This record gives sequence, structure tokens and C-alpha cells, in this order.
Amino acid sequence: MNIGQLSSRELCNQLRSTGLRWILGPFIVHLRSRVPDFFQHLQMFYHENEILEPPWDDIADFHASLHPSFGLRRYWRPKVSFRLDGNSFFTPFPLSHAPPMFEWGMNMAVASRSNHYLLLHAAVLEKGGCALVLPGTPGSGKSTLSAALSLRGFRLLSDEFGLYCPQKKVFMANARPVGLKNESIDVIRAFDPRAVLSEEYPHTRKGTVSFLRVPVGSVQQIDFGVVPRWIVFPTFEQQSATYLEKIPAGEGFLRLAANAFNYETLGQSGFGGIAEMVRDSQMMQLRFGRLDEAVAELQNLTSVTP
Amino acid sequence: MSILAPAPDDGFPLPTPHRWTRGKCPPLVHVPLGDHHMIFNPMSGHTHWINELVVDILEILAQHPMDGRELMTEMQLDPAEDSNLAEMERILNELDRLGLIFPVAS
Repeated sequence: MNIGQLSSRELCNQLRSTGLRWILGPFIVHLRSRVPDFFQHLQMFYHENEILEPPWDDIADFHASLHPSFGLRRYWRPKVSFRLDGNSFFTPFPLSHAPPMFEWGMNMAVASRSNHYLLLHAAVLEKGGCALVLPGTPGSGKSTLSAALSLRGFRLLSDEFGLYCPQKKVFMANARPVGLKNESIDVIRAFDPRAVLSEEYPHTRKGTVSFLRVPVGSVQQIDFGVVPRWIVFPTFEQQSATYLEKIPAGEGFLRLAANAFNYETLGQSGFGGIAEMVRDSQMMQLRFGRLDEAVAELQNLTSVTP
Repeated sequence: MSILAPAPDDGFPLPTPHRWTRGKCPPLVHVPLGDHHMIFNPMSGHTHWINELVVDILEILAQHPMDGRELMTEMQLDPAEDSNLAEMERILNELDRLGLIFPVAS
């Protein structure tokens, strides 16, 4: 059964009582929430995700909860806090910002609990059975690119975390709503009017954010890992011409290792993982100022499997 | 980390010369990438990007301790030129600083 098959009442009741467990790629999430209306975020963005019905025999990777504030705070500028295993890591957000708080909380959960994977700060998409990896720091354009490519038939594995399994030598899918910030929101609206976006959440620490619903296929094929074939470091620059060029393998190795959250934690396993990715992939960098041109370059690149 | 040369009678440590070795260190993990190599040092957990000259130096010092002059002879380089020897000594000191080789008394 999927989240979308639960009625609003069932979903609300489950979130408020025992909590809801669902499969998110290689993870099992357990969420409890008493935030009014938050269930609508799950209905909109996680409706294809399979739920686990109690009694639960599986061990959840993340026990998360969203708590509205108590006391007078319930009435005066109400807030919401995110907890992971009962611990709070962020200062509370306004109650209406429960969805971005949940998404960023999940980012933190994945980043802190996934040392059995080599964890790249990267968007990962699949085309023709191979993975296109877009490593980049915030502002590099990786989320906007991954949103646009997912709207052009690429399967989205992740817009934020590239989960590379050194044992299986594949990227694991972890498709969640794509977080878009500020100008990117209108850029994606203009790029494809069919894009399904959440409401906008203004005045967050990242500015205004909105979330893009990932195509159904990205969630339905969430069990399939993908071997890397193209590693492209994007850089967005206003007014820049678009060009895609090869970079030396050694430089690619160092940039990829520097981009990994847990490279040094994993030691030799991390080194081996990066070495395999570099050996099996074309290493490129993409500088772009126009989204449509960048998408065309990447479509062209991935039209031929190396 | 380094093994000091034996002290002379007056109690002051001997200056160089000494030899360098990789001794009984766990083997480095090598990945050739074009004309450079990426190596992983299991002892430090650090990754280094090195050229083929350094690869050869590390391989030779894994077999036998040598000083800079012996190393250059082994590599068929000309140790007679002072600038060459100085450059080799600089490389060896840098590799020592990175924990890839260690000095031993001659």
C-alpha cells in the first residue's frame, strides 16, 4: 500500500498515534506528527511511496517527529520543531514551514546516518541504465538542473545526496521532492509549465523555497541502483556561455573526494569508491548561464553510453 | 614518528646523512590516473596525488633504505649535480613530513 492510498483521516490518525512508516529508497522512515495539515505534504510528494503497516518487523533507520509548540506559543507565532530519535537539531521554524523543516531534517538524518554509503553532495539521475552525477556546492545549480532533467525524462535518484554503495558499485535511489530556492522556482516554472510545485515558503534561512514533485517513475523504480557513467561538475554563472569540457581524471578524483561528506570517515573504502567512479565515468565540468542550453548539453552527452 | 640517529658522545644528535625507508608500513593503495597516481595511505587515512617520479621513489624505498644519493643512482639520475640532489632531498623531506617515508640511521 502507498501513502496516496490512505485517506486524509487515516493518514492523520496514523501520524498522530503510532506514526507512519514508509520506504524511502534504501531507508525506512518512521514519522510522527501532530502538525495540522502536514499530512498534505506527504499526500502531495510521497503518495507513491510504499508504507509499512503495523505490526512492524522492520527496523526503521530514522525515527523522526514534528512537534508544534506548546503553551502560549500555540497561539503567538506558533512554531514547529523537528526531532530525530527524540533529539532536536534545528531552531524551531514557523508552523507553516513544517514541510521545509521536515525535508531539511531528513537531509540531516541521511547525512548523519549513512556511513555505509559514500555520501556525495550531488544530484544523481539515470538515463539509459547509467547514472549522471552532478556534484556541487549550494548555488552551483545542481538542484535546478536535476529538476529540469527529471522533467525531460531522466529518472531522479536524488537531488541532494548521491548515495554510492562501494560494495554494489551503484548509486542508490533516494528520490524526494526537489528543493528549489529563490530564482530557481520561477526558472523551473518557465522551463516546464507541467512542473508540480508546492506553495512557496518565504523567509527561510535559504530564502524562499518551494518543492518540485518528482515524476512517478522515479519513485516506482526506487529499488534499482545505477552504475555511474558521467560525472559533471556544474557551475552556474549569470550571463555565462554554456560549455561542457573534459577534466583530467586526477582533478576529478580530488574534486569528487572533496565533495563527499564522509570520504575520510570511510578510509580505504571511500578511496576505492571514488577510484571506481573515476575509472568508470567520463569526468566533465559544465559552466552555464542558461538552463535550456545546459539541459541540451547533458541530453546530448548522455545520448551515447560510453 | 621519525627514528633519530644515535647520539654522539657529546650528547647532541647527529645531523643527516641518514637513509629513508617505507620500512614495514602497510602497503599504499595505488590508482594510476594518466601520468599521475592517486595513493591512499592506510596509516594516515590520507590521499595523495603524486607523479611517477614519486611512485618510483616509494617503490624503491619499500624494498631497501637509501639516502638521496643512492636513490638517484638507483634511478639512473645524476647525483653529481648539486641541484638534482638538493631537489631529491627536498622531495624526501616532504614525503617524510607527509608520513609516507621515515628516516633511519645510516
